[in-house]
Amino acid sequence: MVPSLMVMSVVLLYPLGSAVYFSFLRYYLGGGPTQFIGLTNYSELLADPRFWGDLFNTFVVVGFSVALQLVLGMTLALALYAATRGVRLISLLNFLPNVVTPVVGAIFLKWLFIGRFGLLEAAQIDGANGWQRLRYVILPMMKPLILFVVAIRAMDAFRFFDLVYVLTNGGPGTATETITLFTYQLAFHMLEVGKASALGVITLIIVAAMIVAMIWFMSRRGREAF
Amino acid sequence: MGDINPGSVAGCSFGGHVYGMPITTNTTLYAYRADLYEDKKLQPATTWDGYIENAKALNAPPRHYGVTVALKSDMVNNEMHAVMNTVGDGWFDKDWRPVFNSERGIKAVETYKRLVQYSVPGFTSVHNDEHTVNMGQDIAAQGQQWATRCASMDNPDKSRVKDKIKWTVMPSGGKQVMISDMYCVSRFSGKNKETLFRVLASALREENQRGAAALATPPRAAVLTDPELVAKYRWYPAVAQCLAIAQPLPLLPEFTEASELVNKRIVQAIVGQMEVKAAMDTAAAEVVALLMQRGYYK
Repeated sequence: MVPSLMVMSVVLLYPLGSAVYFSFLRYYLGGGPTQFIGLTNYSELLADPRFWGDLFNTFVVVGFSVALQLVLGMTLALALYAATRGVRLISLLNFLPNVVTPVVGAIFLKWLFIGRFGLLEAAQIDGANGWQRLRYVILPMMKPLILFVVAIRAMDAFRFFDLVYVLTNGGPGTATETITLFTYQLAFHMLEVGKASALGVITLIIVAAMIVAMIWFMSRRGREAF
Repeated sequence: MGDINPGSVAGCSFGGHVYGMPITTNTTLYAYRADLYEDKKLQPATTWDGYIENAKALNAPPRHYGVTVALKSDMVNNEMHAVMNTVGDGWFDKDWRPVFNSERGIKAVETYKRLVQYSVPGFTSVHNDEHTVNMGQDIAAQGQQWATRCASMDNPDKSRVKDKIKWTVMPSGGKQVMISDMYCVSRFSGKNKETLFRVLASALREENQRGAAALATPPRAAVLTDPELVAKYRWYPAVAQCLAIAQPLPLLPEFTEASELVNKRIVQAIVGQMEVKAAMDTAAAEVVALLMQRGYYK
């Protein structure tokens, strides 16, 4: 526990604390004195139409990419479930490129396909068709997994940077700019470390709020069919 | 010093003091497909209207386009520098007040807005590499290209148009962008004057500059006009001609940050996201706010 905490402190807590601290400063890398300016960086960013445009773009990316990944992933999982031959091989090939997620995925798959198989069989015996089994058995069973996947993918999609940077660099103008690209531009092009840190903190708050809202929404519907 | 291109030295100077020596230099040239120009009986344009007319005459989408334009990130100020200096009055006045939103500055942006009608699509995502590919792969008939990109045009491994491209100065007298890579003479590097002198002298020796000529543009006139090298690198005469009229980007320490703001607005104006005047006025206001924050206009 202690070694993990130390590593976490160095690679996570210290940078996070620094970013929060810098966000209250007028900190320009090009020179000049560094001054404490309270919430000015935040108020300037929130008053900037570019921030809101970038936030909208980011939500579009997050919405579409997570929805697409979820639908494709779910379709693939169900296809694997329905398949009778070569499932193990396909599953292995499918998950091999990943480093961490296969372990988590495999545990959930195990629960779904082995541990709870009896529920599906019972539903089938009771005369439930394919759609009904999906709607009333599989999806409710997978709800925690779906929440987990959506949260992870949404957090990942929020960091969307590399493709935009290489393809358009946010252009034309700022039409395809995302929040992370704006943060990069502020920090490394405009050298406004204070403002870039404030934007990072705002992003953290938005992502945290989004995940909390998701958990709340899912748990609110806890007793309902999914 | 007399043999080193004065424009390249100017790019290493500030407030009348020389702070570095240009080891290599670079500028943009008007690259055009001589074979296509001949077919259509066109001449290299000497005005921006002529440049646009030539692009229009050679525009044959979807396979061939009249011009390649690069307006991705920092390429915007490189691409726009010539038109801003010739149709417009440049970027700033002597007090670092923006002039790119003057009537002439707006005309400069409108000139490019007319030009891009004949451009290879996706020009807002085009940077140096794509720009070079557009010329070398027989996609565009003309364009503003860095001198250091000329070699690939004549490299049969990379180009489908070997020997078909010629180079000249940009329309309306050029005044196109130029940059210099230099050894800076600072308080730190100047501590050991003997070593510093030897480093500079070695880098600027004709022999060493000749050795690097295939990869970079030498700032020394003696190398650039060397008959042996001119025969080998047929774009050298045009490079020498262009260097003589090129102008460095504004020597404003904050120009990178300022251009970050201006470039976005220029592109928004060119693609029609904003009216040209509104875009340039917005850019000017943003730049003034930035420079005021940095202590200008006291």
